[in-house]
Amino acid sequence: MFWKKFALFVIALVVIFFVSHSIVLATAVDRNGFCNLEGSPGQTIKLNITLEGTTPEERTGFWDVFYKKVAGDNERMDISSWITIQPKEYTIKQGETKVFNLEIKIPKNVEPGLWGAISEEACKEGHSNDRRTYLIFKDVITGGHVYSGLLLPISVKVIKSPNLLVRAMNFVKQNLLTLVLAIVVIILLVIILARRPARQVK
Amino acid sequence: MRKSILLLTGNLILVLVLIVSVTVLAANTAEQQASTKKATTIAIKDQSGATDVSTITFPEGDPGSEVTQPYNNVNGSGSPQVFGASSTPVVQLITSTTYNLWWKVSEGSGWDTAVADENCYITDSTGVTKSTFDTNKSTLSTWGTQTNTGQQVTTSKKYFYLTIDLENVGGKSGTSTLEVLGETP
Repeated sequence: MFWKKFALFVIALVVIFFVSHSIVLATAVDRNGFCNLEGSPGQTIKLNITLEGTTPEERTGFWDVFYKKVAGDNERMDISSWITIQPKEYTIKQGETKVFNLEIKIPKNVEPGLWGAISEEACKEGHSNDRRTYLIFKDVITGGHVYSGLLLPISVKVIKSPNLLVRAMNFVKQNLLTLVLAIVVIILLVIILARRPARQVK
Repeated sequence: MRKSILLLTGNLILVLVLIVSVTVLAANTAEQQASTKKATTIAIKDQSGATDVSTITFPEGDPGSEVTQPYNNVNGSGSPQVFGASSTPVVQLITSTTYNLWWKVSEGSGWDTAVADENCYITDSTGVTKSTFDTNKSTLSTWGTQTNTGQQVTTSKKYFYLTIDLENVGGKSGTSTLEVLGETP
């Protein structure tokens, strides 16, 4: 009797496992937004984004950029012209992952501040009204006409171009240890070279 | 000369002390772990929610009328959308998370001349009357633009209904692509 119940329990577990795993969704993406990316005027921000195929059928899709126009928006809200993604079109199969190169080229003449959204909270849940510029991917069973996809918000925090002194300071900070060791080596070399001519004179 | 060597040795010791102290400080950490799951698009499935759908077809209608019985390619023309006490959606939208629902209809060929408006409604109810649909529907009359339906798709709110309003001119037919997009609320 016990073994019968045990066997039924195991069968039920197996059924639950397979049923729960048979609900296959569509294409998956590794990020649900790109908010507060930092860069200075003239700089190009480069990122990767990965899609994963989860459905049995091959899907064909493409990337798009979208600006959600809202009355009263200023020029800072539409940064769709800054964005490029390569490759723009794709096909994806179940279990396959594809990496795309996202580039956001900040124009040289833009003012510092937040661009592409009205707040730095735009990617957070409950802040859909703060979003303006989106990256979109959408795909369909190859040959079909019913697409599904996601809207991924994008915003950029444009910072002032650092001057030469700041750049030099940053370089020193990042390479402090190497610089100290290089100085020690140079001092050693100078001492060694300084001693040699003295001996020759003697 | 000795002074120089002593000075040099002192400098080296100082550098070593700095490196060692940095190493010691870096080791004084506690490991934490966190992970995020991937975002997944909305799956467009047949009326039972089992099989992916690739096309939706609206049957022929009188000029100026509303076509309320579209069908998907999996269930076929024998099982169209039905309104009423035991309603049947045209498709189910399956998702593992809640999304704001956007949609877009793009002209294929002749859609603009045959169709005036397209309407959609998503619900968790299985008794959707035409009156409920009309009260809650989102309407598109401009093709090729992403539009927020003002509705949300959730794990339970998945029954998707569609209708079209035909133009007043007879003898027209058209094709289009339908996009169903999700946005984190």
